[in-house]
Amino acid sequence: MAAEILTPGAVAGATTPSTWSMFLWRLRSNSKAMIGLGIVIFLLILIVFAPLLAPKDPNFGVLPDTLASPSRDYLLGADKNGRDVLSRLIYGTRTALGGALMVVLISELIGVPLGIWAAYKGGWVDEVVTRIFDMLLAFPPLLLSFAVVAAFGPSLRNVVLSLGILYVPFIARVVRGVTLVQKEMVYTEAARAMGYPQSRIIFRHILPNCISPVIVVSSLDLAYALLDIAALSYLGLGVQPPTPDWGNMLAEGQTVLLTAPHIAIAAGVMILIAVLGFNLLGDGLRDVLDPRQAKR
Amino acid sequence: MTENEAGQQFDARMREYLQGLREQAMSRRGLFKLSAAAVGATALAGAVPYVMPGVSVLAQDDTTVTLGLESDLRGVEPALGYDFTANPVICNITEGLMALDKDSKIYPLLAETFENPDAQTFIYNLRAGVKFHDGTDVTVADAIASIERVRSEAIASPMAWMFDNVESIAETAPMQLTIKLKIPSASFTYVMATTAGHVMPKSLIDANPDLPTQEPIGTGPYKFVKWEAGSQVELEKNEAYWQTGKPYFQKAIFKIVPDGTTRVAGLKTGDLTIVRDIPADQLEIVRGMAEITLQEVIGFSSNQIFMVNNAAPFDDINVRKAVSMAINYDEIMTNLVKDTGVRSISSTVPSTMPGSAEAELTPVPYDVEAAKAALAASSQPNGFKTTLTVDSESGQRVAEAQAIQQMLAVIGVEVEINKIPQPDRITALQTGDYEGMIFHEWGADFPDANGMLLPLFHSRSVPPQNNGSFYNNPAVDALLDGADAEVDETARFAKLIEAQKLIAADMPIIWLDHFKWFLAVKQGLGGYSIGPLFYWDSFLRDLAPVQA
Amino acid sequence: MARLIVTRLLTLVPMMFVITSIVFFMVRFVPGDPARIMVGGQRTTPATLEAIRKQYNLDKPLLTQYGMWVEDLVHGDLGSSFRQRQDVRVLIADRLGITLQLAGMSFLISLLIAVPLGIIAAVRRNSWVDISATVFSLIGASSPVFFTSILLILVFSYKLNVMPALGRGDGGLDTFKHLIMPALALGFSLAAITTRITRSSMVEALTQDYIETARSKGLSSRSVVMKHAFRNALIPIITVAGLQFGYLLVGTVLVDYTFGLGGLGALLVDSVQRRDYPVVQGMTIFVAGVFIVINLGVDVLYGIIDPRVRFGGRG
Repeated sequence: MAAEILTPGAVAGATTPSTWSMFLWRLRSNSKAMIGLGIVIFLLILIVFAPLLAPKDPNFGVLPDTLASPSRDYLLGADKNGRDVLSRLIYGTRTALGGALMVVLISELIGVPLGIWAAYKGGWVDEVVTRIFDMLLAFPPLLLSFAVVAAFGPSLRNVVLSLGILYVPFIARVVRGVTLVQKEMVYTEAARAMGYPQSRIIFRHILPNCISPVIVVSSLDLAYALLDIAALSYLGLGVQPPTPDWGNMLAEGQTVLLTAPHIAIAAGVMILIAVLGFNLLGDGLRDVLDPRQAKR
Repeated sequence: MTENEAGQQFDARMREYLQGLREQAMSRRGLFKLSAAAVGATALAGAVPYVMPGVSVLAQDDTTVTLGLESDLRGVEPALGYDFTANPVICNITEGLMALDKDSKIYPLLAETFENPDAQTFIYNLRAGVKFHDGTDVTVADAIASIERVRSEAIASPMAWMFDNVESIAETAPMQLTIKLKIPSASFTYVMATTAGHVMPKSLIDANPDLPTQEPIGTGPYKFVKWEAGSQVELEKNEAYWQTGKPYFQKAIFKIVPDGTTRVAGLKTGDLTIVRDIPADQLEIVRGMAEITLQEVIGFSSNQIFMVNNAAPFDDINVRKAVSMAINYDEIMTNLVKDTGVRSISSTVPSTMPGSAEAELTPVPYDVEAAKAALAASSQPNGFKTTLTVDSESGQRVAEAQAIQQMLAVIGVEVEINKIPQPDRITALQTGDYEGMIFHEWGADFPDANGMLLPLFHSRSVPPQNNGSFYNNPAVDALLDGADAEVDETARFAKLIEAQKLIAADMPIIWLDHFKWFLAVKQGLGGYSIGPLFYWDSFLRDLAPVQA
Repeated sequence: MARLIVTRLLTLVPMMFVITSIVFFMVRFVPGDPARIMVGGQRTTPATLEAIRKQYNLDKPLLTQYGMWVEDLVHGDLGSSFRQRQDVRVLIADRLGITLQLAGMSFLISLLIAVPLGIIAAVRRNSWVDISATVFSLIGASSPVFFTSILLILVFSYKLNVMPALGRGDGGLDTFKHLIMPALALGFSLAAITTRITRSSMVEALTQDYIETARSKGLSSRSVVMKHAFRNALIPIITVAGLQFGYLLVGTVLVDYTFGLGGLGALLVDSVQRRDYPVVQGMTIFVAGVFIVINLGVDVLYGIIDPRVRFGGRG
């Protein structure tokens, strides 16, 4: 199945000024994308400037302040060990977003070459690879990650590795679609006839056309990865204490929900905002990069 | 599948379909059939469980008592009944030759009379006419078979060691069982009051030689009906119970409710009649409930952290001293433990147990400067890294672990927290597969101070048993062995107190607290008060509404 | 049609085999002695451990173990739990009922919310209904289902005291009461995604020529919408509903755990947390099997609806 996300604006490796500025203009006028982008930038700021922004040390607890309600001293309250919830949320961005980025990066590093190669080779190689993708695509990555964690133990590293591998089909499929279409294009045929090396064809024709679909899929995959990582940490299978993490905090918050609901609410809302940001950005980018889909 | 994919796939299929539509007529009937089928299928999915067997439609009523358990059971076999969750269930089904009352005094139960002519001979005269739930009579053969089951390798009972000292078990007269020991023991008298002394029919035991039974039969006030793993255990009244007029309730349901807040909520709504395990931060709420009475008692209990004494760095007493003094015990007690326990005073034996040395000992001081000095004088002057293993299910313990981690960082000791599920932590303790520090909870098997010492500090009690710190002090060994063989109480206590002083000086473990046991019971019910050894008790035998 | 089923089976069965084999081998790289895990934390002796090893074939070489496992599988034996010394099938059977109930109720709720909402939003494009539908679906898709669950518990159980908090109740009507909140939480999440697809497929359907034709023939707006557009939109909806099954699966596991319902989800998470790998293994096989059956079902259903498929000729 072809990806069909090709517009005149996305074709051709060279980025002429008009293409880029047209893209920016379209982006700016898409409110979804702008809000999403705003949230993403906000999260990135939290990651980079955490030490400056966090009012307290996220790992230092003042026991007598256990489960303190939100106040001037503890803006979002304190957890069971007397640690500042706001600071822990800020530092938690690093594990959440960092983990999600690693997942998507791994899936791309493996998936992009794999997709191109499979489509390019064609024949039975392509058949086998597509079959494997079909198998993995159907099954929710989270459930297979369970098996990995059961085998190798709970840790952020194991979670990221297993999710990274399991997300490969999402990217690879799209890339494969693009490659298949490009293969049939006249100028590819021409290039091959003229004896251009494969690598040149790939780099000049195929890869550039992959950029926009990969960007869209990556943004959405980041949203899914954030959710999956949060879910695994919530179940106690991911990030281990005392490292601050939104999923962990949500789980702890649930145990004290009756007496100190602020912890669970803060952690949950944080996850919501982050995932929303990437969903909006991904949606917006898809609108911008594929006007066909945008006419909804 | 991502939404993106879904969108694209629908696009393709949609287009194809719409093209097809122009060429062919689609009958309206077909569509209705289809949507009806779809709706019907979902309705069916929702309805199927209602007609599936095992779903009871019985509502809650006054003749049913519902208890809330904090986790699923490991099993329902008495020979394996050695934990705080399974035992309250098992002890209503099977009974032992002896029993303990709420003041931990022993009295005969299935035995009618009990004689202890000398320190090594125990004679039990069984009650006549007591029947098992299956209608058969209780005989000495059943009692002997039950004891042998605890000792059998296949069953691997954690109480097998209680019979290590036994020389012979025999039926010495009709309905009379005599047990002879190799050497005198002050604690053996209590064994038949534990689940190790519970009696099941020989026929049932013979039918399940290698695996624990999933359907126990006993003489208790309640019969086993079924265990829906992960959900609940159901018991029903034994109409032919040998203590006439008991029990009161027709049905007993033990619901498995792992979330503490939910258990408390269940008390409020009346869904739960009795709850034992209440999270520390909700004690106040439960105390404030008008519809609930909250009982509490300090357990024969100890919560501590083992340090591995037979390997670096904790083989050096200065290191142990440093770590012990760097912990702010008051802060932990006030803010985390709160009202659920009392601080241990350098002993695992609470002051409520006769033979405790706590009156003569001093608590470990919180003194960061002294801690740093001790560390500087030790084999690790520059600090070191270590691990602390803790149960993942317990919010309180995890919080304690993190607090300790923070406190030890101050003196240069870097602690990595290893959070694992409780069964795994217990397995790790049994196999000795841990390093550094590990949490441990202990409740005495017997109302005897030695029960808090011998299993934890005798050199032969190392893993797979419970001397998790690998403490080895021959002088202490001699005192503990001597105490067990000492039938004279004063002499025994003297030896135990001496042993506790030696242990306190060696600081092999970090003493935390003696935790309390709580029991929240619906207002208006009486007949049972929780005692320190509740895990050998039947809650429900005497439980009934209090006459006004 | 028969050919369709057969070809799909030929693809899906190897898939299940591969997935479950991966789980089998991966999980046997666990460090530590499986016999010890089986004892479940009780005191024991080396002799007992040896007996356990023999009973469960743990002393045989890995490939032999695999062969025996496959043979068991073919006979429908999913293995037995080390920790609880119970057959995995029994463990699953005990909890299947409540999981099916939850899944069914959630699915129904999600359709009941998403379909009307999607249709109205499509018909009145860019109205406030449309915008709120979009907002709803974005937030619903971004909020983890376990967070939605916690919020519901907080508001309805703790603050308002209206609903029972957790657990599965006593069966029958009581269980139904206990499932309302979980089903709402999960249904809400599913609905968020299904709404968007319903809306877009309705929009597509509405802009087709034949709608114009129908309108021009004087048919009332409403009948146009209901009879023609909706009918044609149903296919993608069913397709997507089938595709959402993966998320229904994950959501059911998470909701089960969060609400302590004691269903298959709680069993799975528990066994992963405790590294009780026979159960993890058995459950993964079971879930993979269910997955295949459902996917096959959706394909067959789709084949029934789409005449082109039924009479062959599909690309």
